[in-house]
Amino acid sequence: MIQNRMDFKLGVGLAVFCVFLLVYLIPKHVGPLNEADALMPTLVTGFILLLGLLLAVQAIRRPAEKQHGAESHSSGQGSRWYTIAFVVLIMAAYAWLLDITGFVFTSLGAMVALFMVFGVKRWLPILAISLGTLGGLYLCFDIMLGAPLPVGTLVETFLE
Amino acid sequence: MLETLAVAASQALTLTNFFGAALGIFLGSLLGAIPGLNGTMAIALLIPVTYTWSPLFAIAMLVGCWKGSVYGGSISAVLLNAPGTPEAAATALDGYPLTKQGKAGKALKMALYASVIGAIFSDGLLMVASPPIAALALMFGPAELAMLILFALVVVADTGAKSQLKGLISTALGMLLATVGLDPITTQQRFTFGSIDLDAGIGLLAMLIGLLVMSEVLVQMEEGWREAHAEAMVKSDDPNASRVTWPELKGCLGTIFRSSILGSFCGALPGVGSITAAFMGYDQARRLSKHPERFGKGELQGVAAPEAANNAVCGAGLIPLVTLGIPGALSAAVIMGAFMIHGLAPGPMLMVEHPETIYGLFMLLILSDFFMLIIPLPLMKLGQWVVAVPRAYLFPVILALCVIGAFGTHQNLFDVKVMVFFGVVGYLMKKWELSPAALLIAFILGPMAEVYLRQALKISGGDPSIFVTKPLAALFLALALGAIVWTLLRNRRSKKTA
Repeated sequence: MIQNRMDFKLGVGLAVFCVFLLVYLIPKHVGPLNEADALMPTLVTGFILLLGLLLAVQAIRRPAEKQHGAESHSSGQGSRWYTIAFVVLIMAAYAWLLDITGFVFTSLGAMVALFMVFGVKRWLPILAISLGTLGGLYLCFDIMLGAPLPVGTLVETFLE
Repeated sequence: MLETLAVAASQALTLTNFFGAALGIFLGSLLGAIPGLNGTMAIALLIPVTYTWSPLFAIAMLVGCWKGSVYGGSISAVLLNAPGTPEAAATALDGYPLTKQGKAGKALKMALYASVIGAIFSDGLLMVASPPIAALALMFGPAELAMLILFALVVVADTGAKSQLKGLISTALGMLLATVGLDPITTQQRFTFGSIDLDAGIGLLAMLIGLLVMSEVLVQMEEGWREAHAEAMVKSDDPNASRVTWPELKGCLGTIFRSSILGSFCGALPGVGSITAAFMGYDQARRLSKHPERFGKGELQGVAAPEAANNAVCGAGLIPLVTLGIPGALSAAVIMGAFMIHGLAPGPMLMVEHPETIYGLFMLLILSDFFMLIIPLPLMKLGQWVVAVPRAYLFPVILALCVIGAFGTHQNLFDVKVMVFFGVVGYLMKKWELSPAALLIAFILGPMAEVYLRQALKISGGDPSIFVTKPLAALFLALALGAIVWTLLRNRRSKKTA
């Protein structure tokens, strides 16, 4: 029935999001739709709504284009979705913990975890590259640019 | 004018700035040579480091990095048939067969000479064409500028998207994201959800790193990659196998100049880009050659043409940026971000307000082209090891650079969270065949478009007919609408023929 399910879902999802923007988010977080502040968000949202509906209609009639084979450099075995989710999780934890455990410990932990996710099993290169990167970043930002990297509230408390 | 040039020369032609340009070329060549990294990623990762430096030094380094990465991409294309950057794919067509014949050195040197000639031609054009275009653009009012940006946005919507419709959706999403933060005219909070961190809007650099770098790592993880292996190079007994002789260079000069013109033309037009330029250059070289049958089998002109064309895109790509404030390609958009971070607002006023900086930058660009003749030479020797860095070792380092780069500019942890968020957004966009590049360009141009649009409406007392009664505004509006219709028709026709 629907020729291109992905595009259909994307089009409908965008349209629903735009309606939510027009009905709730813009009036509540910008201002009434007829005011100057809301002009651009309203115009753009209306445009996305139109394009989203167009995409959904197009997806009903037109099948998805077939992939013409992978590119030359991407012919290896791809990672599974949970590996990608794990990398995102590590990055999120990295971002959130930076303030608490500081640049050194968070970066070291995150890099070791990332190396393991990417399938590096030898500890010597893991530690050498991680410490080398951290040293380089510290030298570049803290020493050369005078832009101190976060020490971390936990580390600060411990040092005090 | 002469006085301005003298001041510009005194500011630009210093040892520190030479070092900046040279460093940019070295880093660009190195990072561009590694498959999986590209020039845009390299520039995005380098911007945070330049934050405290002088604008001239920083921008000369970043543009040097752009040029270096375009050439660097050809190293892995020639040596491994694995283009380090997408625009180097055309170079691999004849570069790799030359490597198999034991002439890798010859191919790399020809690529280098062609790149340098293309870059000099395009930088010369930038220097000559920018002042009159900027002077012309100064005559534009808010209505004309609003419609010009609209036209540019429609044209760049094609950048990286699977279809024009999805490109337009990506562009509109970028425009919507640009409205987050304080209103540029009334300073009313918009979509800040009570967060002080969002008052200044979404951090450009954090978004840029997330969309272009982190998302790319996630995409490459999903697609999988084949590690490049440093195979033993084929040795040739020919003493000229690793150098380009004068007759060979002379034989390619016509091709190089034609490709430089083509590349400059592609660079100056928003949305065309270096990949198209490289393939157009290759195609014209083959069609005009006396021996088209040699192409694809190790023809030197097949290496020279795409390299001259894709390097000629860089300088010319800055013409719409410095004169109209419109980035014609993704790398130019990232460079535009660097301009803005360093307090230089690209657009017609840039040449009026900072003429010394701009002319100084032009001088450094031309000078950096000559550096390109020397700096990448060691990489040619080390090329086969450089290009074979395993991505399992590379990606954790890149991800750590993303986090610290996003934090480093404003010392703000919120920016790191924004970077991770947009890393995921960029990955999902690529999965859904939307274009993070178009979103980013629209995000950069969005605030300008809004200010001009509202100024024009204020002038006309809220009457939108100002956009059709002013001849130039009407022309740009017609061009934008025409571009939409033309692309939709082209898509329809190509699908029918497919």
